[in-house]
Amino acid sequence: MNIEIQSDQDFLPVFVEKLDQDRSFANWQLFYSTYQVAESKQIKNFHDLQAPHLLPHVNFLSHQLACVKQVLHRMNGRAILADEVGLGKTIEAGLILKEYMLRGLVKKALLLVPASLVNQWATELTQKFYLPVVTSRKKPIWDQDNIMITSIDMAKREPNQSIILEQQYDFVLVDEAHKLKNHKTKNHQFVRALNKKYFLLLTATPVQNKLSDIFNLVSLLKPGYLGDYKTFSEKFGKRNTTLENDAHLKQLIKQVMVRNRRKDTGLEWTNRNVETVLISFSQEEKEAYQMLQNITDDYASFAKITYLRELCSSREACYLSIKKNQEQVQNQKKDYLSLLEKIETLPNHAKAIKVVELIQSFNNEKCIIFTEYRATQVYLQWFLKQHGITSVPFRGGFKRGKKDWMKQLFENHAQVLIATEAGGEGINLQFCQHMINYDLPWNPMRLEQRIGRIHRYGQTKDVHIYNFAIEHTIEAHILQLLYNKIGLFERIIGDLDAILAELDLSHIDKEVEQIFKESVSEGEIKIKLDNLSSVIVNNLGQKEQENNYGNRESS
Amino acid sequence: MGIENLHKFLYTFFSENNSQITNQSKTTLDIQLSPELDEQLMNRPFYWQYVKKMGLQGEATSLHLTVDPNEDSKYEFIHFGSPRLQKIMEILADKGKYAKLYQSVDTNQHTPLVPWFVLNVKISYIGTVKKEILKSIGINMINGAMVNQMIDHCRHINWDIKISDFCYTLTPLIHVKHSYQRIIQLMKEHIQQESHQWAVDAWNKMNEEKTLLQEFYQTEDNDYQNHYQQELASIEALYQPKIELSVVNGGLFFITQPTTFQILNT
Repeated sequence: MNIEIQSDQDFLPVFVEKLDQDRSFANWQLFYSTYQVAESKQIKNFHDLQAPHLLPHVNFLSHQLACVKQVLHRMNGRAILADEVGLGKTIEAGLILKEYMLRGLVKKALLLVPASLVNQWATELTQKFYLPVVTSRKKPIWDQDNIMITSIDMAKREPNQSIILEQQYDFVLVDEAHKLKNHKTKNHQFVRALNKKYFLLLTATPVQNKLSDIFNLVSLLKPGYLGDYKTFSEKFGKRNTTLENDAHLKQLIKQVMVRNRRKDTGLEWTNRNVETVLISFSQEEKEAYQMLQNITDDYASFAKITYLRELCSSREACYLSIKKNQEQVQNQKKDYLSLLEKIETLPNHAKAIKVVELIQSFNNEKCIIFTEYRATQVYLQWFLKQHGITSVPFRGGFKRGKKDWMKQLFENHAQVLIATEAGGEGINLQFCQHMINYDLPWNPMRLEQRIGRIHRYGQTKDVHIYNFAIEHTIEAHILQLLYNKIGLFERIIGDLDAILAELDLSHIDKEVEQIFKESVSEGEIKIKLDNLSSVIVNNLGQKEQENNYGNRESS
Repeated sequence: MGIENLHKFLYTFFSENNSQITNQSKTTLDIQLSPELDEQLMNRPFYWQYVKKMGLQGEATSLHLTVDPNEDSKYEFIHFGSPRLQKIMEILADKGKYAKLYQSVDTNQHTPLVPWFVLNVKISYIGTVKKEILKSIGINMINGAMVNQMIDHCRHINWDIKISDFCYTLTPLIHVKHSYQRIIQLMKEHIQQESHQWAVDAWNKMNEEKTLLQEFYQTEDNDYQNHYQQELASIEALYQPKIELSVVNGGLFFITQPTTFQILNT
């Protein structure tokens, strides 16, 4: 083995030139200070982390430091970071990048993150790690040495893609990497084609449905590590749960993946108080609900379910939706017209009144409200204003800048943030302790993601979650038959997402919809929902007994 | 070693760069920057561009630093990770790179000074991670004797940028270029003799990965585009061990004969 030795080419010629001119030499103080600087910056050994000492304002947790060391020393900078949600994958990735930059091993980096998180990543890296990052704007410059944060869609678009593929990156990171699990997709192929040295894949759900998911992720990272596709599928088959059972495979995966779980971190999590708030409709509202149910009873259609859910949310949501679809319903046109008239006369919504009551009891503490409907969002904002409560809206459709601005307004000025589902993705609101789920989503994972916005690493106080449901309605069914039965509110996330994926129930809301649609009677709905939740409960039990995989070597 | 007292280090840096320390406590420094340092440190290029274009005398700002994180917020907390200090170090690396210094002597007799060439070099061992070693080597340019940790000897000598009265320098027998080459040559010889387990590890790891890669692409599925060469290059970039020598700083140091004798005999 021959180790290449590269010598300094610059010093001697410059020095000789200076001697000829006999000027601009340093005095002793400057000369010695320069040597001291070099001593201070010296990386004395291969193993100790340099970065944490230089970032005294960040309190790194032990599982984060252990993860960084493992990635640096055992995995040589190519790894899947698969911590559970909220344990600080961003911090781990930032620290790894910082360490490499301090050691002069990384100069040019590309970070591919979801478009909605570009700014959040940038803020985190500059404020916590003093990393000089650039985010892609209209005309991004790709061919300079910098840390570029962009979305995969932006990067893939021409002319960006061709330029990016010509670059030599020292460091590439992909957030939400489970989206690359299918090797036939453009995203997967694009990431594969990047020239890269160090390479991190971040995901909270490394295995979603099939073992081939993990094969494809690992093959991006280290082609050949799990063999080629053919032998892999012959060996491990298409059985879904083998990863847990196959000790050999588990061992292999451990070498390329770090997965910390909440329960292993030994962290003291603040409490999560979940309260179900059952609300009664007023007499008028009950009548309207009944009317709606009667009209549509013969038609167990999608529309029926939607209208009913909307009426449970706000008059406005239901009214607008019926109005929009009016042309399509010919038969019951008359019935609908009288229903609309009825809705017009309704008083303020029972839930909205409850919201105001609840918020007033918070003593000016911040609160986030999630609703499924935009009409409800607008109505709530108006209604809160009537009662002197300040609020800002938050929607998926907002541009990046507007989202940041709304978040800032909420943090500094307004008491309430009213968000729709899509808006809730990826914003972190640790400074807020109250959450009202004004409408319950039909997918328990989405509820968990909502709660994760405030109950996460960085939250210092107990959080309070209020789940609203109106008695004797479709909402109460879901709450009692599905959520309460699987004990959603008692358990802390983690297993549930894996179970739903394994059972192919990632779209559980569609499943529930189906049940409502196809059932003739209320009794049938109950039985079917009951069966569904039994299956989930059953699997959860099994899962808890199984060992975890891909965990930290040390734990 | 390294910077042990940041406050003192900063004081030296600013006062040596024509900036005035207007006020100081044990932990704080109030500095009136020189225009040159303002331009390099404060990141306001448009202002300076404007000033120069208008032919005006720019007004340099002042800087208020503290090494104590609990200090009043009007002071900027400066520490080893802070971008401000990083920038200062960057400026320094440039300003303190080349030296030509004379031992200052108070004498009324003709005193010869011996030329020494001093080189401070950083050796980087780069495998999958990186380690650095600093070497400070001095070579007597008259007789070719070499001394390790030269910087420590230099620290105990008073230096001046001008030659003291009644002193004169001896003409070197070994040229600057050859002095430099001898030092580098010596370092390389040392490096050859060291054991390099880190490099062996990295090398083995590299070959392991290369084998895996080869197998993967031999039985490659059609769905996978062939990126074999590219993946191979990235493995080499990741693991190929190498060693880099880079000069931190260096220069000519003229030292009296008694001091030279002392250095050679300790």
